[in-house]
Amino acid sequence: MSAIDSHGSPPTAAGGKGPLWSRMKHAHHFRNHDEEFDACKLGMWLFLTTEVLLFSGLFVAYAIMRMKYPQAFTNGSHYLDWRWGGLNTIVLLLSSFTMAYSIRNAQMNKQGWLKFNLAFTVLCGALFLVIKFTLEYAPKWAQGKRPGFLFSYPNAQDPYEPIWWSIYYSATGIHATHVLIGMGLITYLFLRSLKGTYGPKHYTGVEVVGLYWHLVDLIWIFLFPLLYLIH
Amino acid sequence: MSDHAHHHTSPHAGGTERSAHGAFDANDPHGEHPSHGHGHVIVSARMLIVVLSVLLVFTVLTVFLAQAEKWFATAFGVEIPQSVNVAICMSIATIKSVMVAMFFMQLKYDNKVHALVMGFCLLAFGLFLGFTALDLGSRGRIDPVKEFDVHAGGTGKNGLTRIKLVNGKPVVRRDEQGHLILDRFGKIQYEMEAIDTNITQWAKETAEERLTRRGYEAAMKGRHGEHEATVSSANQTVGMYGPRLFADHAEPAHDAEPAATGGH
Repeated sequence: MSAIDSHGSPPTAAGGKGPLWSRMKHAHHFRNHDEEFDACKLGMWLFLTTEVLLFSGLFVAYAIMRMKYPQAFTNGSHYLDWRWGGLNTIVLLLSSFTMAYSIRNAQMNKQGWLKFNLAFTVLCGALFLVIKFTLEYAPKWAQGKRPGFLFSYPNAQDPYEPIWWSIYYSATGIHATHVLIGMGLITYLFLRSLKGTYGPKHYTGVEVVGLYWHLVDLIWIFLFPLLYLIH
Repeated sequence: MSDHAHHHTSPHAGGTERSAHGAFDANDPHGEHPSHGHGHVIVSARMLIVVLSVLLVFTVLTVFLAQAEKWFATAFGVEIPQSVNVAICMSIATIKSVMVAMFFMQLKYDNKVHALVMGFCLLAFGLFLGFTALDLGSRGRIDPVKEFDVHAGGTGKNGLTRIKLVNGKPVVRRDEQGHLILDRFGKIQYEMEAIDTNITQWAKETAEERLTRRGYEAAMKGRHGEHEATVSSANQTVGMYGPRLFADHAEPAHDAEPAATGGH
C-alpha cells in the first residue's frame, strides 16, 4: 500500500455541522475509525493480560500460603463478613452492567442514558470503596488485624494469621486501587459525554474503559469467594 | 458527508444488532480498505439484562452453598473436605467470569485475536499456579524434611515475635479466662519449636536410615570424591524415592561406561 498519509485531508473540516461525535477525527496514522477502534481494542486486551499477570502473582501467593498455613486462612475467612463482600459483589456486577449498557447507549446515540449509565457506574465504584474502607478496612485495622509486622490482634488463634492479613490487604488493596483508577477514567468519559463526544461513530473510549472496568469486576468475582467463602 | 451520514442499525440474530456504514467512504473511494466484515456489534438490552440476572443469581448461589455446607457439617457432624468447598466456589466464579467476558466484554462477538491473547495469558497463569502447587504438594516425596512448614525468613520475625514487642514493649492483655495472652503465645511458640526439633530429628533419622539402606552414601562418595551427602540441606536436595528424571544415584556403574557404547 501507499504511504500512510497519502489519503489527503481528514474526513471532516473542523467547522463542520452535526453533533460532536460525528465530527471527531481519528488519529492521523489510522486509515479510518474502524482501524483506530480495532487497534485500541487490541491494545487494551494486551494491557489486560498484564493486569491478569499482576493479579496472578497474588493468587499464587494466596495458594502457597493457604497450602502452608491452612488454619490461619480458615480463621481469616471467619474474620471477614460475607455480607459486606456479597454486597460489594452485587454493587460491582451492577456497575459492570451499566458500563456495558453505556456502550450500547453510545452506539445507539442515546445521549441521556449514556450520561446516566456512566454516572451510575462511577457511583457504584464509589459505593464499593466506601463499603470496603469504612465497614471492612477501618474496624479491622483498629482491632489490630493488620498485615505482616503491623499485626497486633491480641485474640489471634494461629501464629500465622499476620500472613493471612498480608494477603488480604495486598489483594483487596491493589483491587481497590484499580477501582479508583477505573472511577477516574469513567469520570473522564462522563465529562466528555456532557459535550456529546461519544456517539455511533465514535465510542472507542467508552468501549476500552469498559473493558478495564469489567476486568476489575472479574478480579473481584474471584477474590470474593477466595477470601470470604472458602473456609 | 456520506462518510458518516448513514448509520442505521438492523436486528441481527444472537441477541445483537450490527451497525453498517454508508456505502461511500471518502477516505477509501475505491473500496481498497473495505470496512471489516464483522461490523460493530450492539449487544441487545435483553441480553445484557439476562446476563446481569444470571450473574446475580450465581452470586447468591455461591454464598448460599458455602453457608449451607457449613451448616450441614455442623448439623450432622460430618466433615466435608475443603476441596468440595473450593471446587464449588471456583466453578461458580469461573462461570460468572466467562459470562462477563463473553457478553459484557463482548468476546463472543469480537475478533478472535482478543480471546486468543487472553487465552495465552491464562495459560501462563495456569503454568505458574500449576507448577507451584506441584512443587509444594510433592516436596515430601523428595525429602521428608521439606514437607513441613516453611518458616519466616529474612529477619526471622513472624507474627509471634511481633506480638511480644509492639511499639518496643511487650503487649500484656488477658483473655476471657484471665490468662495473660502473651503467655499463651509464648507457650505456643515454645511448643512449636519443640515440635520442629522433634520433626527435624525424626526426619534426619529417617533420611539417614534410607541413605544407608540404599547404599547411597557410598555411591555419592564414589562419584564425587570428597563430597559427603549424609542428609539433604536447603542447598542440597537428595531424591529418596518416587519418580525421578535422571538415572538412579545408586547405580554408579553406568557412569563408568563410555558414552559411545550404543549397543543397547
